[in-house]
Amino acid sequence: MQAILVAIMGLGAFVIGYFLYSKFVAEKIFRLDPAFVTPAHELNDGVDYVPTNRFILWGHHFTSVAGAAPIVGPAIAVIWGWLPAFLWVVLGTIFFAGVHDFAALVISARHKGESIGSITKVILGPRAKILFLFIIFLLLLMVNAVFAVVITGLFLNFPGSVLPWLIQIPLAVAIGFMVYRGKAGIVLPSLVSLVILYFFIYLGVYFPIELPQTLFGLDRAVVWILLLFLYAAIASVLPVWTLLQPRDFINALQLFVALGIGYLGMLIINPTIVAPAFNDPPAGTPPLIPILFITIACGAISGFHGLVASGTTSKQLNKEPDARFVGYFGAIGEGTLALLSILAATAGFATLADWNQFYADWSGINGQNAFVQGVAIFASGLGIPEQFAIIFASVMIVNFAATTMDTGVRLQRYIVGEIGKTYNIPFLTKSVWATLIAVGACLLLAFSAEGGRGGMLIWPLFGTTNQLTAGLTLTVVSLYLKKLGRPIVYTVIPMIFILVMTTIGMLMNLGTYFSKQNVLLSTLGIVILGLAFWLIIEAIAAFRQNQPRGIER
Amino acid sequence: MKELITGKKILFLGGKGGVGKSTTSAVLAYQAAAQSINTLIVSTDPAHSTMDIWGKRIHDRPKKLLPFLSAMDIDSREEMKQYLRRVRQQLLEVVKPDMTGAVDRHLNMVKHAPGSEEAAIFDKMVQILLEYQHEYDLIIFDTAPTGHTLRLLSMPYILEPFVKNLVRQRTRVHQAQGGTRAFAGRDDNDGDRRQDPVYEHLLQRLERIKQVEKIFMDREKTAFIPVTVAEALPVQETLRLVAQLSKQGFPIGGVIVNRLLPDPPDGNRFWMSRKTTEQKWLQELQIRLKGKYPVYGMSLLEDDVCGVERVRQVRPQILST
Amino acid sequence: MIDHKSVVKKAGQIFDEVFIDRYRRSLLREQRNLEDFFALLCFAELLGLPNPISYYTIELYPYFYEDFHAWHKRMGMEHSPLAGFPCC
Repeated sequence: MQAILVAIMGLGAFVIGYFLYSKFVAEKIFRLDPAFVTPAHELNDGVDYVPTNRFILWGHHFTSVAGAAPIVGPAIAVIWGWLPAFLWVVLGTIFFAGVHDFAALVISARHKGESIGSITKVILGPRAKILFLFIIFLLLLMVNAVFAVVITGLFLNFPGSVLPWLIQIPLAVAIGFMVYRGKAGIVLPSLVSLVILYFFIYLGVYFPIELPQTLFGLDRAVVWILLLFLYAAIASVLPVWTLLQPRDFINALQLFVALGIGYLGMLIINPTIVAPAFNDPPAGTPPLIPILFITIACGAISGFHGLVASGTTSKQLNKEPDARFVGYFGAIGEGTLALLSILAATAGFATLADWNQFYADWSGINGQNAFVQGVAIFASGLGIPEQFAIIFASVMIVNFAATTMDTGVRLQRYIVGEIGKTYNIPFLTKSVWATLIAVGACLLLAFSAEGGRGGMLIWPLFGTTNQLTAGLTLTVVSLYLKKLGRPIVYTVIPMIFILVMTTIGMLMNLGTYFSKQNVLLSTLGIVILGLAFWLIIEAIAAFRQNQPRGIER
Repeated sequence: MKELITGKKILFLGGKGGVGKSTTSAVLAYQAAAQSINTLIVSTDPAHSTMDIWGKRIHDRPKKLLPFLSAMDIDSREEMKQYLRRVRQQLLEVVKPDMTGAVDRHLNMVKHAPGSEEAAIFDKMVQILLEYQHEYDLIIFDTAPTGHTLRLLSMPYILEPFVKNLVRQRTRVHQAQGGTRAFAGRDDNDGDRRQDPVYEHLLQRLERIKQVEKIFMDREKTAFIPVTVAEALPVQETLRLVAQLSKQGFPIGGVIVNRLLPDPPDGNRFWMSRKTTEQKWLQELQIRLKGKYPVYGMSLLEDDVCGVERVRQVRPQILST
Repeated sequence: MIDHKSVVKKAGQIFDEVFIDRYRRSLLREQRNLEDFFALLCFAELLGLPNPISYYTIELYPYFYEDFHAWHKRMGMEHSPLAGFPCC
């Protein structure tokens, strides 16, 4: 099978989904109203609430939600063959993620741009708000731990990406300071920094940085994870303009460059998918159903998108009907990235034997590495040297993941502080302690999985928590639709589907954790399972109640 | 007692209520004026006893009583009124015209808020110190009872960190403004700081507080003089006041013991007993001060100290050094 | 005929809005947070927090009045904390 053909089928399905299904959901179910005064207009403050052109807003939304996860998940899931992953990404994007992201955006815009967390409190009640906080904290915990492992995997496999990553830190800080101190405009420094970054990617090829096998008696994977969290801890207490924002901005540019290079290159070299459509996976691989649905979270449906859509994007919506393009098409953007990841991880290998070798063992998969190699091969079609392209793709994922860790630790600190305030534990409200606790928890989780090399053990935990968040959002949206007397089947079916899949998936994972006698992961698994049941009970109770309380419009 | 008034530029008299702070201040002021030291006596005591002593109306600006002696009175209510009137005028420029009533109601509440009164007194004290310290050779502050005095004296130390912090925060605001302005393509980075009236206000406050702090701590020019009587409670309170003042590093010029009894008539058991008690407490005071500060005494008079003529007749005597 | 200048200009505009606007607003947010915090330090007593220098900061009221309504809303109060100060 030609990769281009698969790409065309996938992208074509996205287009059809957008023009038919999203139109139906927007007009018939949500009945978007062009005359509705959006929060961006009602509360315009020039900072958070700003009416924004829908194409621009789509750019903001897409670059906020796209990260390392839609790359890693699909590149793992192709172990069952390319077709299941492809179908889940395409159908998931059209019927799950698109609706979910779009609905979160609309419901938030109709609640003055408030976050899903606040709306949960209004629609499901205060108890559900606590549930929400727990889920978010776990989600951040998982994200940080799993991304530290992902970055470590890249650094160990492609040591050339260390140098460009390192150089990007002072580079971003320099831009931040120049801009903040008013010494320069933004366009020139940003272009210069991109050039410098690419130069260092080139240098990285010749100056790989490798840690010795063991350092101070520690495995080098452990050392990398420790260093990454040290970095995240420091970065998270800096003001956003010093590092987070300038780098975020460089990442956004990188994302479009990478998508362009990946798809264009593929078009030119016209690779064949070497992987089978259905693969008989190696021994030790969990069954496709339900594990596929928690392995690919971002890229098919992701609760994280609801958080971005509801807290941030909704405050900039110019007109209500724009939500369709911004929310739904934002999910399609993510699906496009996931699709590229599938293609890179299946067509980016020379032979089936190579592919089989890479995917020989479930617990040893480094999905991100497959993506990196695949994209590098595609890029060679554009005349970009493969060595350079490898570092380029690797650095892109590293930077996505590192930015997420930085933000994640930051948010975790807020939540720890919030807990400290609620339960009157003063030391938790201190920035240093909150950061240490946040980072400590993540480290514990990262190391609990085979000393930092067991990414595949915690990846399903991440996927599950992410899906649970999506399930919660879909519950809130369905209740809202019920109150309006609209059909709820289009949101309830995805909701039931993912709640069932995550619950079964989690039960299976628990079996693995028990058999490995991993106390921490078992405990976490039980906690997540408990949260899932809690959510299911809350949802059933709320649906049985005839009059959900306090819904606007 | 000469050393109490010569060489010093600023005296603060404080002590328990009713021990005769105002009388003592008046006496010191008179003695200074008699030596051609141009003296200003300032009463911060809301009780307004200064007026009764001099037998003249005294207002919120210096009034000449004798060739080298002027007196003034800090009326905290009046000070607040003037301050709030200024704020009101500025506020009315920015609010809608129909909100005058609301502005007045709010400012009226501020007037009665805790801390406002002493803040007003402190403010005026600062103004007097900075404005008149060159015009007069000696300024004597007749302060309110102990707790009040201590609070007043510690004002700069309470306020300084707060104002400093505000200045620091404001500077950070300016930096952030510089950053956002750069995006708008302008580079007048210091513009805001120079034109920011809020920053100006704060800097002025800080500057004044620092100057006053300097004056308070100046051992050469400034002295704090606790006034007391030789009885159990006043002596104990005075010892506490001295301890507190020296702990905070204020220079103490000495302690004045007021209303010392004359020698009792022989055989009068009541007066003999009173005199013994007085001597006991006087000794206690002197022992506890360990000779660190001189102690002065002023005799009890036959009648009230009212009017210049009576003030002239009283003179503190050194009891111990 | 395509007007090259206007194309470049338009491209610059789009670049600005997609990539820079968010950055710019994050700085504005930072600035606003600092300003809010400053106002909080000045007027803490309005939120029921003790503020030893409240007497001295009321003279700053006029400079903050314009932004006052937005400020107390951001501090989580729907209505003016100044009793009888009908800004909303």
